[in-house]
Formats: sequence, structure tokens, C-alpha cells
Amino acid sequence: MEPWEKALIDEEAFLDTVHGKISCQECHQGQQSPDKETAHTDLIPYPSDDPEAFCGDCHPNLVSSAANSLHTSLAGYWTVLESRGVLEDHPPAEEMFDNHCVGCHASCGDCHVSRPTSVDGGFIDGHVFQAKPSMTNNCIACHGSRVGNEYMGKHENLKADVHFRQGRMTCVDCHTGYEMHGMPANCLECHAGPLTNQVPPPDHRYDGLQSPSCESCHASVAAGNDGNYMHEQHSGTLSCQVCHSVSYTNCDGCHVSLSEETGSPVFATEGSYLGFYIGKNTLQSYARPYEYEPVRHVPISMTSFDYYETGMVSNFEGRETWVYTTPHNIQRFTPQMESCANCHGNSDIFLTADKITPGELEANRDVIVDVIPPLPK
Amino acid sequence: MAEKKKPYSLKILHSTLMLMGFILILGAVSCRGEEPQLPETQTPSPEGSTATHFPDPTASEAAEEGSGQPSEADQCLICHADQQALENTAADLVVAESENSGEG
Repeated sequence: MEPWEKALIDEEAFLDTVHGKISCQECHQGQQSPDKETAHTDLIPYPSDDPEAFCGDCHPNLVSSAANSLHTSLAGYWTVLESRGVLEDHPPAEEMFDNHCVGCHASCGDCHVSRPTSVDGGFIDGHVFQAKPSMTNNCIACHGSRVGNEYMGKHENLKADVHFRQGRMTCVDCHTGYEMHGMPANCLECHAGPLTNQVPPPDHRYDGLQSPSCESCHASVAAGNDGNYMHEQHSGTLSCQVCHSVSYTNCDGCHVSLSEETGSPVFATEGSYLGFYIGKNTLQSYARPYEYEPVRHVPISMTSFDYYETGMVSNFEGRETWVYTTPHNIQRFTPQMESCANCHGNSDIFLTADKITPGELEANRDVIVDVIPPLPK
Repeated sequence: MAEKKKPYSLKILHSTLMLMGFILILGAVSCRGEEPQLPETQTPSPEGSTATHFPDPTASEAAEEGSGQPSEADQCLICHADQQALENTAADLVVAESENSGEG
């Protein structure tokens, strides 16, 4: 977007909305002056960076629950960092986090008014607030390289997700406001009341119940009464994506640093590639009972943060580098379905030890498939 | 035979009753012909009687909103709703080449 375009208000449309009844200065402060510099003195460009002060008066419930949202808390980052020995109260780690991770924080405005600041912002619709974020301007602006590309079929020879291709569904059709605002979605829907508040906030994206879950819409599949023999045989043992997903992006060896030229935070990944690998489920629980699910390589390495402190990843074996994943490229028909032998007895499709870098074997011991499920007799 | 005199207390009681009766008749006559005045009925509001005794929060918010509404002379809007003004005052577009390498 051009610089002027990012800040252009659609006066007629905006003033006709509820937020348009509030004076500009009530949220953005600044000064009344025709001179740009004077007008922008003490300006607050992103009021919702302080949601309690600027959004909480009218949206108290959303603001209080959103504090628990992973978009706000970024708790998932610290969960995985700490499990690998990168400690939160360690100054070099905090400096690294501030430079490379905090930018992914999403404020209210990043979803409802503008494109996220991490992708240089700009009004989505002339400063008219959007109750539902835009898939392309908001969600995929951040979640683009994996989720966005997979969902919209940007990889050669790989179709877009059937929910997009045929259902024309956008992100918010599954990822509801409950989830986005840090409310434990399915719990609240059924268990409104004091106990709801005792559900702890999620500490990573796969914490707690599956929300959204495939079964929320495909209930007959979950109940095993849709007449599909494969569903009867495999449900509970395999996550839905094992059969209904196709190749997705995996990344290796990300290293972060500050640019020598500009001082800006930069990253470099050693490689990315498409692939589909079935691994053991390391997050087995009531909500995720599967024995197998697809696994994706995340770009962590032992030296990822050495720019800030050598050996900062002090417990590399503390977490897998091939992790539980839910690729957003669901298909009605996939190569796995073409024949039983495409999975049973086929070591190519499973994450076996020979596919893992020697230095990562220990970290992935729980996810490696040692015995390939044979063809049923 | 001499007529038996009424006791003094009975006389007072008799006079009092007569006076009260007179007042009642007078009152009835004076009210005749006027429509009875019933208390004014009102549609109960969600706030109930509270609204009568306390400032209406909605009204108060509306007043605040009114005072905070962007005026036609709002300098912020004058500039930010004017594409040409924004183009004239916008900082130069600096297209910095990404220093990242690989897929992020």
C-alpha cells in the first residue's frame, strides 16, 4: 500500500459507524492543527496497544478475555522456547524475543481496523472497523508462508484446501471470535457459569480441546455412523489430517540476528521444502487420542539464537523438531486413500529415523515411527 | 313528670357527629362533576424506578458521545479524508529490500 493509502479515512462510511461517533482525538490524542507535525504531537497511532484504556470501556468482556489469547500473550512462543532451555527471565533471551517475536503480537486494531503492524499496517476499509477480520488482509498477512499458501493452493500441483476451494470458507468460519479472544470456545458454549473462568489460558496452540475441530461440522464422521469403512477403521487412531492432508511446507535452521547495515532484526532459514510425514502423536490426550498424525519440521536449530548468546538453546532435546501439525490443505481425496499399501508397509510416508538429521534424533525420539504398520491380513 | 335530661357527654358526641356528617356532605358536593384523577401510567423501562431517581446512564453516554463527535472542522478528518492532502504530506515511500533470507 502507498503511504497515503494506509492512512486514508473513508469519511462518509466511517462517520456512519459507531466508532465514527467518537472524536479522533479521544483515541489518538494529538493536536488540532493543519500542520502535520503539530497535529501529530503526542499522537497515539495504535490506541489498541493499550486495549483496557481505549477499547475496554465499551468491550470490557472481550478485552479481559483477550489478554489470555495467544495472539495477545504470545504464550506459545515461551512454551516452546522454555522447553528448549531458553529462559524468559534471561536478558539475552528477552532481547532476542523483543527483537524477533514480539512483532507477531496482534492488537485489537491489527485484526479489526488495519493490516497488522508487523506487515506495515494500513487501513483495511478506510478506518471502518470490521467485526470479522479479513482473511487476506489480516489472518494471512501474518500466517501466510505456511497456512496461507497451503489453504489457498499457492504451491505448484497442490490444490487449495477444499474448504476454500469448494466451501469458500475464510479463516473466521472455523476460528471463531471465542477462540480469537482467548475464550475456551467449546467450554463456554456449553458450560457458561463460574466454572468457565477456571479453565486455564492456553500455553500453546494445541493446548486443551481441539477448537476448532473437524468433528464440530463433520459430526457423523466422529460418531462413526457415516457408512465409511475407513472412518470406522481409523477414527481415533489417526487424526483426520493423516488421510485428508497433502504435502506442506517444512523449514530448517532458522537463525536470527540484527542486520549489520541497518540494525533491523533479520532471519535466515537454511531451507524449506514440501513434504508429508506421518509421525507418532506426542500430544496424546482425551481431545487428541490419535496414535499417528502428520508432523512438520519447524526451523529451530541448536544455534538459532547464538547471535544473542552462544548456546542459548541449552536443551535442544527438550522438544521435538518434528511437531504435531494440522495442515490447512484438506482434500476430499488424497494419495493416501488410493490404496491401503500407500500407507501400510510404506516407510516413505512415515517419519522414520533415517529421515532425521543425526543431531536431532534424540529430540525426536518420541515422534519417530520405528515399526511401519503392516498391511492387514 | 319532668323530662329526663340527656347527659352532657352525649350532647357533645351528638354535636360532633353532626359536624362530621356536615363536613362529609360538603366534601362530596364540592368534588361532584370532576373526573377522577388516576395516576399516570407509564411503560416500565428496563431500568425501572432507578431511571427516575438516578441519572440515565444511556443519556449520559449519549451526551458524552455527542460532545466527542468529530466536528466538521476536525483537522484530523480534514486531512485524513483527503487523498490529495495525504499524498502531499506523506513521507517518501522507501522500499527497503528485505534482509531476510529463506522462507519465514
